[in-house]
Amino acid sequence: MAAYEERETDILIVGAGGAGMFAALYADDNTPDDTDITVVVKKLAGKSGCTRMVQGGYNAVLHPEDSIDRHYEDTIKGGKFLNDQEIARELVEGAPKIIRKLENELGVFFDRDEDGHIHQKPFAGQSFDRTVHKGDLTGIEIMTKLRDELLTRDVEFLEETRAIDILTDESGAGAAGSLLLDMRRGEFIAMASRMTLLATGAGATMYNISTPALEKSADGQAMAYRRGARFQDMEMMQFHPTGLLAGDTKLTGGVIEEGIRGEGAHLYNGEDERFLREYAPETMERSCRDVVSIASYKEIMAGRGTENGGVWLDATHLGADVVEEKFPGMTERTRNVGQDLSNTRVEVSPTSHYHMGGAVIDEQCHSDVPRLFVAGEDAGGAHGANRLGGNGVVDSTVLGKCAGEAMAEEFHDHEIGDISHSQVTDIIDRVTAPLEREEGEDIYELREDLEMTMWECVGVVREESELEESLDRIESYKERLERVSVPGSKRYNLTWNEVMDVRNLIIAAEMVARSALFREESRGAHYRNDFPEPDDENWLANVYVQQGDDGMETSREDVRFTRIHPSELEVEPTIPNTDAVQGDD
Amino acid sequence: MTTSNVTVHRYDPEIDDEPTFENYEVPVSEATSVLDTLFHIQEEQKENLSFRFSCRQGVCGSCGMEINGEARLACQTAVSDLDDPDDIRVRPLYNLPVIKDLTVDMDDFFEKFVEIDPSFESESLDETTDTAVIDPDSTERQRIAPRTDCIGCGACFSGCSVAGETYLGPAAINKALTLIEDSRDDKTEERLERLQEQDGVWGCHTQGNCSNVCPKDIPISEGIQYLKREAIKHGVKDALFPSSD
Ligand SMILES: Cc1cc2nc3c(=O)[nH]c(=O)nc-3n(C[C@H](O)[C@H](O)[C@H](O)COP(=O)(O)OP(=O)(O)OC[C@H]3O[C@@H](n4cnc5c(N)ncnc54)[C@H](O)[C@@H]3O)c2cc1C
Ligand code: SF4
Ligand code: FES
Repeated sequence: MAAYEERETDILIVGAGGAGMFAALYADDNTPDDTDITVVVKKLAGKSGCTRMVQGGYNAVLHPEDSIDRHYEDTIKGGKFLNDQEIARELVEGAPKIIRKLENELGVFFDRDEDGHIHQKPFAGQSFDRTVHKGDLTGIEIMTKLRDELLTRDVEFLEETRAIDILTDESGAGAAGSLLLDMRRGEFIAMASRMTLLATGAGATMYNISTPALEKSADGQAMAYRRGARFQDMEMMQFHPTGLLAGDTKLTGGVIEEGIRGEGAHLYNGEDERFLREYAPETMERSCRDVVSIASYKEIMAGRGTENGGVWLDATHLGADVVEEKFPGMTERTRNVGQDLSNTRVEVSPTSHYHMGGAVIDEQCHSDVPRLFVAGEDAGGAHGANRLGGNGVVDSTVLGKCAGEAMAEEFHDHEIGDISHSQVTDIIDRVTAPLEREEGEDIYELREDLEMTMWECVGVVREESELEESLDRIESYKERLERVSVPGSKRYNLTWNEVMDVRNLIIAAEMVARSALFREESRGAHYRNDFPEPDDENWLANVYVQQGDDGMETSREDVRFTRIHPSELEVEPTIPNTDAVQGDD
Repeated sequence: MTTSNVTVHRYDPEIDDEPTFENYEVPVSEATSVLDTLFHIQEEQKENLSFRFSCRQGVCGSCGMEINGEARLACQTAVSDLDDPDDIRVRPLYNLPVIKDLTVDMDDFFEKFVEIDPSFESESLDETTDTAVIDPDSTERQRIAPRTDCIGCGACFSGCSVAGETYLGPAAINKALTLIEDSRDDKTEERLERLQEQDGVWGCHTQGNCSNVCPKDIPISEGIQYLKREAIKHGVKDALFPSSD
């Protein structure tokens, strides 16, 4: 008989990145003192996830000459009109408020102009310089201050505790809490709650080369999927063009910022050709992120990459001093892995960065499952087919706030429900099975196979036959997962946790592959070799996936243009005529 | 590829009487970090080894541990950069309780932050007001700026010979300094009072280890000396002009 502890809380928040922490802050601000708010986090609070890793900055309209409408239009244009226009609006309207909250109530100090006002820098795709930052450590500052603030509040943190599944109430329809695993002690906790928020930051790590924090594995998305939530635009996975290749070290995938290409660095394939000549002769290396990513990926997949499957980034002609002085952080990073940007070429590759797709939510972050909220990168809608640099952390903080406020308002209407003992024991039996098996599949090999499949068949450039192939392989991974064996005890067992991660990644990967197969056009981050053009006539539509009776079901609906119609905005040329690539994370 | 001998602290307080050190042969290249060697032991050698990480790029401050006798970030320590790359010895940070193997319980460490009240407070600024206009070159900002780079990794705490039971420790005092110097914050006096206590700034023996090991090069020790002077000034002021309550 599976053993577990039973606990309860009013508001349960899963994940402690920007979205989870902001939800906790605003839930606490808006509830009576005796309300129990619990945050569970797989790693340490405020010291995990991608919000912490934000370097570039935060888009917010602060300047009198800028306007919310302009930020909004930039966001919709960037999203190639697939955005949920109401959520996008919430985002841009909320951003300036969050900046004031961070500065005036939490003590963050963003960089200043010489005149003492907040400095705002240019970011790609923006019609006004509106990116607020603190040097290139913006995320550390935001998360540290959030953590400091919450440390002094009556919010309980369960660290190194992972949520495994959402538990449902008697009707089987609404979220009644979550089954948690205290990873340190290896013990399960059935946490009943009135309201539950998923903010686990999605799973761009499903590719072998990726930028995010290592623990992120689409847990929230998979948990919501298993309880019937609907997802949109899962095919929209953003790749950053220049991730560092550092052999089989975990540093592989870390970003070399685009500023270096703006400064004039060149890209060469394995045959020493400046291959962008073939793809974008006018703008070359200074083309947009997607253009450079597609070109590099095509070269690599055609066998014209470097020995390690990348391309060369060459800044040596700029002079060692210039590179060293202007890009000290990047130079240091390459030296750490035995290369040196200031005097040699370094190997780079497109790297999976951000998931635009996610659970369908409304402006208060309700998902389709009653009492289950989703915020941050786990949710979809805000960014459509492409996220602007600087809009990611806006999404997690603004929507985190919305979720916190909504949960604070609504929790009174619900009692803490009974948790089903059989549901809990079923889940425990399933997740502990690998520990019982003496011999079986190796989880790390399985993960590697999944990552390679995503890279080869569902990568930057896609095609029907490969996408079909990926689905076959994913099917076989599901079977292999059932045969995995894990050594050791339950206590702080990283391998066992890896099994739970891969289980979730497989679900998210299938959602990405199926949606990519479904969308027969190219738009934003989604590029189909067999349909290389955008097709506005048929595909100004969102792609949906959801669990059906016979597995995953895909469908589509035309985008609802509640605020702006594409005809009202100038369409962007595929390759913009910019002189310099601006920073863009 | 060469191989390194990695000696790792193994300890599960729930079942082991005392810690042991185990040896592992690990292949390394120029790019391999100490964190990578631990992943190798975990993934290829099938050990149930516990260690902590998240960002793998020196940002989250999760992978602090003692590497060849010095507190460092495992992800930022290239094996090839070590004085003795063939022989690597890793153990958990000092001054904090071990959870298992290389992971320590950071609660004590962050409890010290709570003691200096890390929550910023301003009476004049809030969500509805404009943000303060502050000269980035002001003395105030020059003093605060380098000190806000702290990633809470605990290396300074591990390197400090006094940190442990009651002394606030280097990181919390560094945090206090950034708030005390901030003209927007209103709790300066309360914080200085806490720092004045015996186990506040006076607990520091000025050995400078904290600054030496800090992966973000924060001038922690110098900051503590600065606060000692501020605390004295504050003490004098208190004695001359005792507050009315
Ligand atoms: C290197 C890098 C640079 C970036 N730079 C920028 C930038 O300059 N500007 C910008 O706008 N955006 C940037 N982004 C994107 C931005 O970081 C994300 O959009 C945003 O931080 C996502 O926030 P989140 O709260 O959804 O998730 P995260 O901040 O990733 O937090 C997820 C949290 O959930 C926890 N978690 C995961 N699974 C579980 C589970 N099962 N149980 C419990 N807890 C769990 C994690 O430990 C973590 O605490 C960058 C991303 C990366 C990777
Ligand atoms: S002051 Fe330096 S050593 Fe101490 S916790 Fe902060 S970053 Fe780590
Ligand atoms: S893993 Fe984040 S600092 Fe090392």
